[in-house]
Formats: sequence, structure tokens, C-alpha cells
Amino acid sequence: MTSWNAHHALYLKESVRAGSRTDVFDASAASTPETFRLRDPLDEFATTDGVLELVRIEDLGAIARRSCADVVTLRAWAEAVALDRRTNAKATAVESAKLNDRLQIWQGAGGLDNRPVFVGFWESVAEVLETPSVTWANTVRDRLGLSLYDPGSRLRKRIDVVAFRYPARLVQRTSRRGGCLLARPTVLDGGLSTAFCTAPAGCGRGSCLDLSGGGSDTPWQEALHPPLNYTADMVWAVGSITSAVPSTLADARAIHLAAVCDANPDFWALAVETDGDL
Amino acid sequence: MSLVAEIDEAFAGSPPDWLPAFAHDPVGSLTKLFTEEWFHGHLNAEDPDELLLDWADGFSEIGPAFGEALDGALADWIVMHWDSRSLWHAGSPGVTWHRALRVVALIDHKPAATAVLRERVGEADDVLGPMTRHAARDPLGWYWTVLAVTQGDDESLREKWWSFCNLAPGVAPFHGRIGLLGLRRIAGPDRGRFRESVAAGVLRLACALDQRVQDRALGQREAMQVARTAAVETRAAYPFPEAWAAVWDARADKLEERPREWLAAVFGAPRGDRPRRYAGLSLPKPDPDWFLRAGQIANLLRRHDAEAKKAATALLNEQRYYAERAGDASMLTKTLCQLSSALGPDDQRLAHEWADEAWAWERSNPFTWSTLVIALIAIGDFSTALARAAEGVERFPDDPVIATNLATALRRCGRLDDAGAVLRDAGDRFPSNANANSRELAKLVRAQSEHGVGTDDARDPVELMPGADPPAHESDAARILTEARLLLRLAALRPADERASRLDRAGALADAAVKAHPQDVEALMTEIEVLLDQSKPEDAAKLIASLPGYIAQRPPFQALRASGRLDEVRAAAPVKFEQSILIGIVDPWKQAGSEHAALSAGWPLTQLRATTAMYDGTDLGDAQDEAIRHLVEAISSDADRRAAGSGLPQRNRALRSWWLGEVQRLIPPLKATAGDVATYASLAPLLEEQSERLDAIDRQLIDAARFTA
Repeated sequence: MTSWNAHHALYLKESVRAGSRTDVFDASAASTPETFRLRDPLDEFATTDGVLELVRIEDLGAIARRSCADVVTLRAWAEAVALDRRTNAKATAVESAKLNDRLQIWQGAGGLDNRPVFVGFWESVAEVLETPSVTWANTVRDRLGLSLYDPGSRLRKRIDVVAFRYPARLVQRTSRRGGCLLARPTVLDGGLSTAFCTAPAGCGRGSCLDLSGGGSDTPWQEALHPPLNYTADMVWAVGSITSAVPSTLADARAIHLAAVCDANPDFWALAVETDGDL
Repeated sequence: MSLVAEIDEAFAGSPPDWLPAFAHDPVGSLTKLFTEEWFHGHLNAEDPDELLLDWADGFSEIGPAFGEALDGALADWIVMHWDSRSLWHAGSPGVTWHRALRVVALIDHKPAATAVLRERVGEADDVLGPMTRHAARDPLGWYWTVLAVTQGDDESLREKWWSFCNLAPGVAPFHGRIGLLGLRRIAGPDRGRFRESVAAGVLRLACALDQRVQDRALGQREAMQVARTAAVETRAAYPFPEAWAAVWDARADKLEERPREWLAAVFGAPRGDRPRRYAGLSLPKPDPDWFLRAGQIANLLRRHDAEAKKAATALLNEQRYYAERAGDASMLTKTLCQLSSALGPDDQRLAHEWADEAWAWERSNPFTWSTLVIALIAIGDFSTALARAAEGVERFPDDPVIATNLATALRRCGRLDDAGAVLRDAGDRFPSNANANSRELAKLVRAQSEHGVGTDDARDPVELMPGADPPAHESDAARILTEARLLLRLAALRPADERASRLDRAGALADAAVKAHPQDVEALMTEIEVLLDQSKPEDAAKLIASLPGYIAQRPPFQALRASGRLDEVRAAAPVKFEQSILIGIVDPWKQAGSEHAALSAGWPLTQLRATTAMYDGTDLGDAQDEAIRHLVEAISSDADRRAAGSGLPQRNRALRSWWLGEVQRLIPPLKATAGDVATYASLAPLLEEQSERLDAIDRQLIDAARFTA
């Protein structure tokens, strides 16, 4: 596994994460993620309507670390801004400006690379985030398969997260009138993850693995796109992940595969290849 | 509590696998973590440095064992990998070092790791600089961040922080904010209060970014982002709106339009007509009389006036105060150099002190280099003088004074033949400096007559430099490398039959330097240049091919790769024209030029010279015409720019301009006038005749470019 992980990481460093988050997207640049340079087979989502909305979950602690901010203050600003947005109020111009400053530092001087950004669709996530409950972050973490956000394993009491919600029209396009650079994720687009199952090319969807093993009939869709500039007006909700990642990840993986294979029998061959031993 | 017990307690006996492995093999585990070899199970999608920082934070609330073990392991890891190539082929060493040094910068307990980093302050730019690409792959930035946040009472890095804020040649724009961080954390009586020097740093950085935009070395969007980020971060670090308003009102109208707009987006519209005040704020201003006073004091010093030194000290203190707070050392360095040169023989120690201070402030200024070399010679430290002169000549191939300085230093080191060769070369290249050259030539002739013949420098070249022990701040390896590069340069000035021995010695010294610091790009570059000058282009190509991408892709290395291929074709001449051969030679030059402004005009000459070794085919004529057209255009646009006199050009553009001037000097028909277009037929004989000199100016350009990359 170490050797496999090392080779995988090498590919990511040289072919997927070679540039900076602030690079202007250029499909022909050598530092552009290969995901978007060789994207012909990955265009399942290229025609996505620009008014559809996407959701991105980010670790507020990591944002604070990279923007030299205090996470408690950052959270307070983000909460105020998010509440404003959900209630259509306009009472937090100062907090919004301060939050925006920090978001710009996080994405610029903070040293983020230009790796593809994994996102969910509002279409799926809305059931939890339309009116976020106190525990929304735990649910969304599980449903989006974000196993890296495990507070206990990281010695954090909780992981504060922020949900950005924004329209797909903001995602870069191959050209002015070209397709939207929204792609089905493959195993080559991010770090090796036990909570990731590649969907076959041409299937028209990317399916998140539900960490809770709930075996939901319809796994949430996931996609990825080149990094874009996140701003305060995209902040929709702030929450805390407090629960541990369920220890039954292998079971969850098997349940997930069974569910997606039931929905699409073409998946069976791939599932047997990747997880036949489970 | 032991480390193992601390880990057990923190995770109730079920820690992530990496932590027990760390307790067992700290350094090996860190390598696997930073290179991303280690598989972290369900956490694996997270960046490993983020995981380690989380763990370090978490353990700090439990006990000291993990923090202490991590600090020690990081120190050992740095020592192990600094002078080794162990990470070269693990892939992207820049990312690995970026992660490691970011962790050092962000953890709380780091005395051991900081100590080993501080010990390497003189080598950091050469080892980590080439790995640095942008803010997401920035080991050098994190290195200086560690030093910025751990300065304590040490004020020795003040000039360094200002060089970042001023974006001195070679400083990346995204390092400007590290300069501000350094100024924030440096010792001083005003520590703990609003610092006007930091505010001045923000303004200086914005101006420097604007200068890069004017020089087309940086896009407006990127420059604006860097300026804004710096202003936002710094304003947040000093939450005193009234102080910022007072600074902004007082200084906004001194800025050019573009930086004023960038900063107005953060600080708001300035109120120049009714400037706001802030108690205790005293923004330093330059005194318009300084220039006059400096001249008067210099005259008094020359006359050994008793009060002169006191007056000099007073003036310098005023200018130091201004430089340290405003970040503008131009007047201070000018005065230091002027007064250093005016001191008499009894005060040469002081003259050296002042020259050294000027040099520390402004290494991008050839005046400080020449003043320092003269001061070093005056105190009898000939070996250091020679080392500085040798580097100065590499940095400023366009400066006649430094060239003469090198001859003087060589003479004082007893290397009379080499001094003569340097003088002859300087005489050819800088006829305008004939008087100084003649004076030095007279001294050289006198020395030769006293010693009979020129010194036989077949003896150990390091011992040849008197002064015995190398200075404490310069390692043996650095001095050996300086000697190797000097020999390389001197060999090029000698007749062919005298070159071999110098090149052999240069090669041996370069090997020694590479052994001492296997990742040092200067040493590697020297090895390649020696091989090229020994007419071994295949060996040079092999060496370049063995280097990791972060070094081999650097502009100077790409240009050397092109030089090697040109040599190969010329050695095999005549060669039947093939486009692919030409592309193989010219493309590395084009690549180098696209990334480095100083090298941007170089490829057409290489293309033209390559075609002189080829025959046959209409495409050959097209390639020649294309090269001539581009060269003539470059020369013409450079002349237009110079005629427009758009102020002091940025260093890279000055180097490019110098190189184009040399090309015209050697190949006069390239300076086309209206209706008089150079043809290949008119150029070919000159290209052949001046081949060695063209090689030399290419090499001087490549060598100088490495200081401004």
C-alpha cells in the first residue's frame, strides 16, 4: 500500500497539483491538472445548466491556519454571513468584508495548489442544508464520503466546516461557448481514499459513498471542477463535525457498491474488479 | 510521560498508524509522511502536513513529549536531507520541503529545528530557491518565515526583510509578505507598538510590485492581489485604524497611480488636504541636504579634518534611522560608499566597515561591490577581495569598474598573468574606462618587473589566496566554488593551449563543492560549464539529464543545455539541415527566455549560429532569415527603449540590453539602419570569426541571470 500510495502521490504532485490556486486557468498550461487537460472522456457534466447549484465543504480550521486568522473569529464572521444569506438579510457587511479578506488570503498567499475541487450538487444536499440543523455537518460529512474529517483521529475536539453554495455557471469552461469543466471524479483526481469508488466512464454520474453505511437508495452525486475563487457571498452554512467516522467503512463500501450496481447493472463488472474480495 | 504513553493516552490505545511508527523511527516516518508515501487510511485524502499540524496542536494540550520529539525529529530530518540527494527522485522535492518547513514554521515548540535552519542561512537560497515555484510550492518562503518568527533579539536580518519588501532582484513577488512579517517580528525599541517601518514596508512592496508590472515581469492582477493581501494582513496585525489613516494620508500622494489604487481599496480614500494625525507617529523623511552634507564631509575626510568622522557618524546615523524605518537605503549606501572611499590609510578598518554595511544593504548595486573590493584590498584581505570581485563580475558583466577591480584583486593575490588577461579583456569591452585600466596596467607592469614573471598559479588555488583562513561567514565549500568559477572565467581569457589546466582545476574544485553540497545549484552549474568548456557537451548533457526537473528546467540550465547542443552540432559540422536538429538546439533557449526576461533575446543568435554549421535545403535560409529578423527587431526595440529613457531599467532588462549591445559590438551589421537589412551572407564570416567571444557573452549572460531569476 505504501508503494502504491507513493506512486499515486507522485502522479498527483506532478500532473494534478503542480500549479498554484491563483493560476489563471489555461487548459494548455503544463501545470493545469491533467483532469482538465485530457477531459474528453470525462464530459458527463459538461452540459450542466449554469443555474444548478454546487456545494463545497471546507475545513474552517485549515482556512484559519492558511489565512493567519483565529478560527473562533473566522467562524463567528462566517456564521453571521451565512445566516444573513439564508434569511435574505443584509446586516453583516463588515463581517462579510473581513471574511472575504481572509478567504482571499487563504486561496492566494495561503499556498493552496490548483488541485481539482470535489463538490456535491445542491440537488442532493438540499435535503440536509436547506434548513441546516445543529448536526448537519455530521450528516453531510457522511453522505459526501469525507472520511478525512474525523475529529478523533486528528486530535481535534470538533472540525468546524463551512459550506459554500454557488451556481455552476461560475465553473470555468473549455472556451467561451464551450462545455462546463465539471467532471466525474476518478481515482486519479485526488489522494487515495478508502471512501472513494470510481464510477465507470460514461455512466453519467459520480456517486458519493455514504460513510454511515445507511445504504441510501440514491447516493449523492459528486463532481469536480478546477478551483474557483470562493467569496463570502457563497457561504451558506457553518457547522461542526463532532462524530467519529464510522469504523465500518468496508461494510459501507460494500453496501454502496451493491446499491449503485442495483441501480445500474453495468457497474457489476467494475465493482467485482475493485472490491471483489469484500 | 513518555511519547508512547502520550500517544496511547491521546487516542485511548487506538492511534492512527503513523504515530506509533513515528515513536519508533521519527526521522524515517517524517520522510514517509512528507513525501506522501505513508498511507493514512481513511485520513489519506488530507494533506499530510495538515494532519501533522493537527496532531501537534492536539498533543500540546496533553503533554510535552510529542512536541519535543517532533522538534528533534524535524531537526534531524533537515540535517539528513539538506546535503543529500535522497529526495531528488522521490518526486517533487519542492513539495516535500515545503511541507516540512511549513510544519516547522507553524508548530509552537521548535528550538532544535530552528537552530539547524539558522545554521544554514547562507545556503538556503541556493538549496531551496530552485525548488520554489509559487506560493503552493514554496520551501524558501517557509524557510524565511521560520527565521522571521524566531528572530528574538537578533536584528541581523533587517536588510534581508527590506530586500523582500523592495522585491530586490531575484526576490519572488509572493515573498514580499515575508519581508513584512520579518519587520513585524524583529527586535527594536518599538516592538509591542504600531510600527511605522512595517507600514512603510507595505507601501514599498506596493511600489516594487508596480515596478515589476511596468517591467512586464508581473501581471497587474497578480500584483494587485499580492499588494492587497499584504495590506490586509498587516492592517489586521496592527488593529489601529487611526494610525493607518495617518500613514495613508501622509504617504498616499507619494505613490504612483497604480499602487495608490491597490492600497486605497484597503485603506480608503486618503485625505491629503486634511491629513489625520496619530500620536507618537513620526514618519521619517529624507533630508534634502544629505547629498550636499555627504560631499562636504567626504572633502573633510580627505583632508583628515578632526571633526569629519564625528560629522560622518551623525549623518550616517540619520540615514540609518531613515533606511531602517522607511526601507529606502539608497541614500545611506551612497553615503557609505562615498565616505568609505574618502577615508585615509589610517582609517581603512572603518572604510571597510562602511563598505561592508553598504554591501549588506544593496547587493544589487555594483557600486557597493566595487567599494567593498577596494576596502578589502586596502585592509589587506586580498582573498576575500578576490572572492567578492569574482562574484561581482559574474553579477555585473556590464560594469567596467568591477572588471578592473577583479584585475586589481588578482594582482594583489599575486596572480599577475590572470590580472593581465582580465585587464586586456576589460580594455576591449569597456574602452570608456580606459583611464582606470591604464592606471591598473601600470601597477601590473611594475609588479611584473618586481617579480620577474607572473605567478605560477599551478599551485593549490585556494592557498593562492592569501589571508589564510576563510572568513567565518563563508564556508570552505563556498570559497572553493568561488575559486572554481573564477578559474572557469579566467580560462576563457587565455589562449587555447593554456586553458586545459585551469579547466581541470576548476572541474576538480566544482566536484569538491558538489560533494560538500550535493543539491547546490551553483556547484552543479559550474560542473556543467566546465564540461562545456572542456568540449565535452555530451557529458554536460548527461549531467543535466541526471538532474531533477526543478533544477534542469531552470532557465540558466536550459540555456546551458542549448549551448551544449550548439557545440555538438558545430563539432559535427557540416551537418545536413533538419528542422528537428534546430528545434533541439533552440527550444531550450526559448524556454529559458520565456521564463527569464534577461534571456529572452538569446535564442535567435543561437539559431543563427547553429545554421552556420548546416547545409542544404530552402528551410535553412528561412531559419536564417527568421533568426536575423528577430535579432534585428530585438536590437531595434531595445535602442528605442533606451532612447525613450524610461528611468532606471529593471535589472533583467538591463542585462538583456547589455547583451544586445555586445552582440552589436561583435557583429556590427546587425545594427540595421533604414533600408539596410543585414543578410546572412554579410553576417556569416563575423559569426565564425567572433565565435569564441559570442560564446563568452552568452555564458556571461547566463551566469548573471542566475542572480536575478
